[in-house]
Amino acid sequence: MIPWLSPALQDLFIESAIETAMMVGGAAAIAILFGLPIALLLHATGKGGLAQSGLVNRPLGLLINAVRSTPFIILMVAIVPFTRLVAGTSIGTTAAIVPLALAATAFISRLFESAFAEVDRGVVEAARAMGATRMQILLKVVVPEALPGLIAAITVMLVSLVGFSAMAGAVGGGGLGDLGIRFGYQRFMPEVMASVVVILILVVQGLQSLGDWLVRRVRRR
Amino acid sequence: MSAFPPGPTPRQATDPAQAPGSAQGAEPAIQLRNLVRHFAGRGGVATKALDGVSLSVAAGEIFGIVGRSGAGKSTLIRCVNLLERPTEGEVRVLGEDLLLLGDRALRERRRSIGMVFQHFNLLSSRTVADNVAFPLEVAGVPQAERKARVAEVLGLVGLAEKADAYPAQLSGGQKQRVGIARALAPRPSILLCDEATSALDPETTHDILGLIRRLRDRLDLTVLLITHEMAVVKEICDRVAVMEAGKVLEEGRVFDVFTRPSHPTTRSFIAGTIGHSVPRGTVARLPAPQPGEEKRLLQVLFAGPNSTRAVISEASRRFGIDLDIISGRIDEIAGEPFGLMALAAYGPSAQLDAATAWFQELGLTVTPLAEVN
Ligand SMILES: Nc1ncnc2c1ncn2[C@@H]1O[C@H](COP(=O)(O)OP(=O)(O)OP(=O)(O)O)[C@@H](O)[C@H]1O
Ligand SMILES: [Mg+2]
Repeated sequence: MIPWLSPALQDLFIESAIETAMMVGGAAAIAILFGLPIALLLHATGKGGLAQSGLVNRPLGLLINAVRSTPFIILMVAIVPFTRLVAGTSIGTTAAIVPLALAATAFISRLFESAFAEVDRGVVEAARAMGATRMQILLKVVVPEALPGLIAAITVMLVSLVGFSAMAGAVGGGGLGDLGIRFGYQRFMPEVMASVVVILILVVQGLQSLGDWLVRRVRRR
Repeated sequence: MSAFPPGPTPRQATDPAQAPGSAQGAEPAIQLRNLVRHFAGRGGVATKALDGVSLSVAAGEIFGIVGRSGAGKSTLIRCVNLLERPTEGEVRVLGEDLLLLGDRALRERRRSIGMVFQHFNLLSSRTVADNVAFPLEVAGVPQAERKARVAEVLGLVGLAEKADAYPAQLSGGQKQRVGIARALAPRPSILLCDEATSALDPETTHDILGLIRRLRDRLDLTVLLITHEMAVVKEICDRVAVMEAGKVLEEGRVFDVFTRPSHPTTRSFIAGTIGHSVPRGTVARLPAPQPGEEKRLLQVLFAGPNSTRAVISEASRRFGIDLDIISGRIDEIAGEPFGLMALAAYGPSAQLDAATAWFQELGLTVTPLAEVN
């Protein structure tokens, strides 16, 4: 696969790539699953929303901001007890997914929320005039109309997760970033470092292009 | 301009109970009583978007509300389906007091009140057919029935072949047809149009207005239509209310309001639509008044049986003034003809005032031409 690396390193490379994919994919899936309802709740309870409620909106917003403003490396350490509770362990790839998912959920909730805010108010008003319930408006109008923005948000999150997953290597999560640090930096193997960097660049480019292409496909404007 | 007294029959906002145009005893389709709507403004200063509006729209009529930007028109029409809740007042639609309804019942009623918007407000993520299906979907109509109804209403607005297009692929006029089809899909008996043609060019406006009128005739709709263009009112409305600063200034049959406007705001609105425009050069070339006399440019509108020729010569004799006809023409509103004349009047001010008053007494509407030019 990468001809200038030894077979042993090549195996390590493949293993690390799989770990990165697991961390990014797992965290992203969880973040989307939780982020979507959280963002809808933020959107609906926000100012001028369909179910305006400062009582719900403010504490939720505060919690999300708290997670978002904690540096990832500190977040990872700070939530170790929680990680142990859900993952059964505090080290390894699975354990790394927990803080990654938490950070990504907070991140994407805000991105989704602003995608929802972009939806034309007139369309929501038309749906109200047609007798739609608030739930119908959220699910049949707000989400579909925001779809291009949601996909763009997911793309941004995936790209950030690739970067964060390198840090997760520091707590035994493995992955390509960790490989680069351990072999490229600590063992002075610049070819490993270069390969990691090139591969990460390609992955990020690929994700971005895929995201852009999808956005263009679903955007009907 | 104070030299021109108000018209002979100043109309007040009609008492809803005896609104002209409503059939004897029949309940109006829409009845609004004393609507007030405040908006909290900056620094605690509240805007009175509606300041005691009463209106009554008879079943089957096309009722226009005209007014300048900020007059409160949108707030008013949004009160009819309670998108906006009035601070005070009563909203009766099809005999029912909407303000007494719970959320669920209100959503139900909204389905019998279609609404069309200035900016169409179509879902960009849905095809034309799926947009039109939306209100049916929301109401829980089964898929097969939905499909049949969508095809039917798209046929009604002449857009059957665009069923699978997305809104972005349509022209403004086509988008508004989709908006109308969507509003009509659940078989409403009332159609609310908030500036439905304001984003369209004149020709498309004409098409859409024609469509609304045909649909009204065919489906027995009651239409409440908002516009800032008198031309729209003139083209399709049966009755009209003129709004300013949250109040209805006057209300009545379109022909009456056009030919005998009682409020200066109405006059200036109408002027742009049916008024005369006399070329500046022509005005400049008119002779100067004699010493002690005055020159006034007047527009005279007559709808009644008076022969203008006789009226003009009679006025000259009676008041000792000179009247020059600069131009004249016949126009028509809702099939009723009326005449319009531009005059140059010469004489002492008192005599000109007296002549103007006399014209008004005869039922002619006199406005200064300068105002309409
Ligand atoms: N949601 C709102 N909050 C605060 N003020 C409002 C709101 N909606 C309307 N207003 C105010 O109420 C007044 C009437 O507004 P409205 O939209 O009804 O006018 P309009 O006659 O429809 O004008 P236009 O022709 O520009 O659409 C305006 O002064 C406007 O600023
Ligand atoms: Mg408006």
